[in-house]
Amino acid sequence: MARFLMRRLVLFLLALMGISLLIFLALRILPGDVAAVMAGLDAPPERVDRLRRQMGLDRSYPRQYLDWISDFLKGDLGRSILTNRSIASQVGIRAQITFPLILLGLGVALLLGIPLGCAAALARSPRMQSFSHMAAIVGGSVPALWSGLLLIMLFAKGSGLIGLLPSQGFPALGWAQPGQALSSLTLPALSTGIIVGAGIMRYTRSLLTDMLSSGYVDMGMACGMTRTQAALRIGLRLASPQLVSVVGLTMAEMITGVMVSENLFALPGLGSMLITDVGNRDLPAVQSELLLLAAFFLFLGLLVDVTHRLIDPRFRGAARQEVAD
Amino acid sequence: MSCEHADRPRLGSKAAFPGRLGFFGRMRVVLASMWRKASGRYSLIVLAVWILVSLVSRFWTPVPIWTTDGYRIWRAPSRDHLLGTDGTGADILSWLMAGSATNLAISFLAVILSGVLGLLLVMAMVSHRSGVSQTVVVLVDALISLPTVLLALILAVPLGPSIAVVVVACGFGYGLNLARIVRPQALLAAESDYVQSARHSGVGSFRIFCTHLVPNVIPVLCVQLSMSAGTSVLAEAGLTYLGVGVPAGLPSWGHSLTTSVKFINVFPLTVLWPGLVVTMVVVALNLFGDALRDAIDPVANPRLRAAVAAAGRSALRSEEYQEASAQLDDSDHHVDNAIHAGEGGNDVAEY
Amino acid sequence: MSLSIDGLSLSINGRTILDRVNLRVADGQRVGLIGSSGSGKSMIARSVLGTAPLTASLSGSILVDGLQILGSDDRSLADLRGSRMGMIFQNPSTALNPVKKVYSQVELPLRRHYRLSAQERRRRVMEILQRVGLDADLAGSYPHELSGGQQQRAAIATALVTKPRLILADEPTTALDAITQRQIVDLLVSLVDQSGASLLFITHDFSVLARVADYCYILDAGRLVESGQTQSILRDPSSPQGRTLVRAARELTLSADGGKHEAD
Repeated sequence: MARFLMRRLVLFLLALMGISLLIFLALRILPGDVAAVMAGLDAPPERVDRLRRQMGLDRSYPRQYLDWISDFLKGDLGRSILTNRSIASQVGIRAQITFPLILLGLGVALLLGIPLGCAAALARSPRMQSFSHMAAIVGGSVPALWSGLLLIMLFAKGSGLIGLLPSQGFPALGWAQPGQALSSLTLPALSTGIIVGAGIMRYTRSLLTDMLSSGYVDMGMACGMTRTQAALRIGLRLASPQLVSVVGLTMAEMITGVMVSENLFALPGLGSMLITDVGNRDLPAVQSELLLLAAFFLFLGLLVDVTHRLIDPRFRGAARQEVAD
Repeated sequence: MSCEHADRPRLGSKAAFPGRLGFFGRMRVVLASMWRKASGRYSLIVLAVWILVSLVSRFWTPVPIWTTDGYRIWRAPSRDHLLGTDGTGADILSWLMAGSATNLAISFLAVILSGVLGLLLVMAMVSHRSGVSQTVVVLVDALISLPTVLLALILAVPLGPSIAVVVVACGFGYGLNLARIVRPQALLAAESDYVQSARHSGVGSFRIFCTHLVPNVIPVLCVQLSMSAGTSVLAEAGLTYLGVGVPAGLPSWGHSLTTSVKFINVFPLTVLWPGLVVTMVVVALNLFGDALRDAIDPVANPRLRAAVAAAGRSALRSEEYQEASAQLDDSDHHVDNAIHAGEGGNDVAEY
Repeated sequence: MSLSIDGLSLSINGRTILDRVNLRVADGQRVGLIGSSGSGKSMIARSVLGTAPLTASLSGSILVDGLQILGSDDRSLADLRGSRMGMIFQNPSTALNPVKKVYSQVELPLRRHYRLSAQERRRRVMEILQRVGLDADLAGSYPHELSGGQQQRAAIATALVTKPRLILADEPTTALDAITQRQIVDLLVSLVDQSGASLLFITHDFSVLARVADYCYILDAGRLVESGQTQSILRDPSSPQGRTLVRAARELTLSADGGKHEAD
């Protein structure tokens, strides 16, 4: 395990370095002079030059890269060219919306996907099985924007059929008003969670269906469990390593939905910040934010791999044998 | 991931795809087999309509897409504008129709890119030089957790919103995914006796890859690429809405969806149509892959097997095909079972 | 405990797996069920336990001590499984729960069916482990740390820990090597003999069957084709399928084993 952890950690750092290089190069080498664009269409050349100096674009590329990375590792994400505000503090504030939103969305997805997936796998009639299969496919095929719109049309205060929940903005005082904050995140979380949940339902169903025809579940039943008990206590447990991987990867794909939701529901989160900065070509902001995002997801991948190892007994066995050898 | 097809020992490509029955003959049997199931029929119809509308909209839309009318903006549906008009007075239905061509192109290009990238990665992964294969496996493992939207954003800063951003971001992400999913099956084939014997008799790696490995992973490829096409439609919608996808002025479903957001206060029912179109197409693409996999695989599709066998035996006695497929009506059920049993594995393989 | 199967038919999505099977195991009797792979013999055991696949449709009658299994709800069947009926599977490495240690696997039927103190459970588990010939210190191992033979011993211990009156053994030796096969069969027979339970022993191998059962049924493609005393079938099988199976056993078994049966 220790050896695996070391190797995975090195891999994580290498990948992060690769991505940081990619971000750095993409923002410089690909066509389009960032300084010229930012300065505006008819800006005089000296203004463009000043901007270039201000952004450090006049230094050599390796110098720029090293400065950026060393600052980044120290926690200094730079300052926005447009607002001159510290990016780190901005990220800190906006993360208070985005992370709860991701967690809520994931919660909705898991609460929907896993029980429904189990129910679908345990459904007795073929009709019920194909219905649930189709429901999962259709649910996963809905664009995030559309599910958000439908929820607004149904439940938004003011415009919806059943006006229940706010659909625009986040309370000014943030989490100091927990009730309002939570209710303003409910519809966005549902709109991403339902789609992701459909995907998780599909995987849970197929993993559990495979498990149901395995000897392990039969053995559980032979020991006196009902089919449902054996499926849930043994089948689901044995499927959990794969389920963890699926959930981890699903979370990565969920981020598009989260960004869409933040925009649609006018939530000032990380996603909308990133989109605004990309639109403005705020170079220092964009590169630090992108790297932060990449680091987050690479770390998530690391976490998923490690968890997978920890809960899969075969790997545990392999680790033991490694020690024994 | 115990996939039905993986468990079954496969013969070489020659046996799996014997050449007697011509390409078109084979296509006919495959399409007919797909048509026999409701899900296959649905996906074929929707995809055919999609392609047809894309072609037609190049030459004709109910209202030319560049016709705007400053006096009739945000209009509810009427006889002239079946789905109403947008903020420039352009016809929403026409834009929706014209968008299908853009999305068709994006899906097509993304699928090609991810297919090529995925197969190249798989080729490196099953390479018998362990240094190469291990490096690539590790690389894919590390990069797989990066979301598509991240790559799109990285590209969008220098390129601005463009079709290329969507295509490259999707193609790259799905290519990695494809490689990871296809790898186990390709490894299985690479370790099989017929590949080993081909290798010993001096056939080149690339040739072995093309003639032996690719045919063996075709069922997974079908499912995966078709699903990628669906996901790229969803990605286009999301990225375009976020302003890093298809640029303004080029019709696409993402734009239609984005426009529909503003319709919510004008005529809510109009909001439904673009989303419904996207959902129907993505569902069709999801089902298409499964249906194609079941139909294209001679092991799983007795009808195709019978047709190939009949064509192979002799062209003189063509009635034999009918006879063979009549006999197979019975065993079809059994094969359906096998496919459903295997479906679990394939579903999981999607990730 | 007696088992009586009458006219059992089973089909999955329209495909017939079992066709009007009649089979009887009297109290304390050891009966063999033999057939080539795919003949549906495992499905008989699963039907008796009530663990046939969800998509299977069954008809006929299965009486266990006069209790109708078909149509009973899963909860009452679960009460029978692991208490009065024990099951041993073909491949212990895909049956023993890989995340549970041997001890808690063997303990599971006791936990499900009886309210016993921890010490009492421990005493019974250790006793059965000793009787199946597993060292006490293996109780703390995971299944994948055991050899195939040890795994099957653990599986037998799990099936027998509650002293069931009917034991179903589905090819319990097929996944093992020849020497271990012999040991496991002998162990099973002696344990069943001591407890006086009934045994339905499923196999495709006459040479194994001859050591276990004095009466046997031959199944082919879901139908019973022959039944009778094992020795008389071995001497003179009347059905073609029986002849094939007997011939296979003669050819495959080493001369010593085969010779012994011939001499009997």
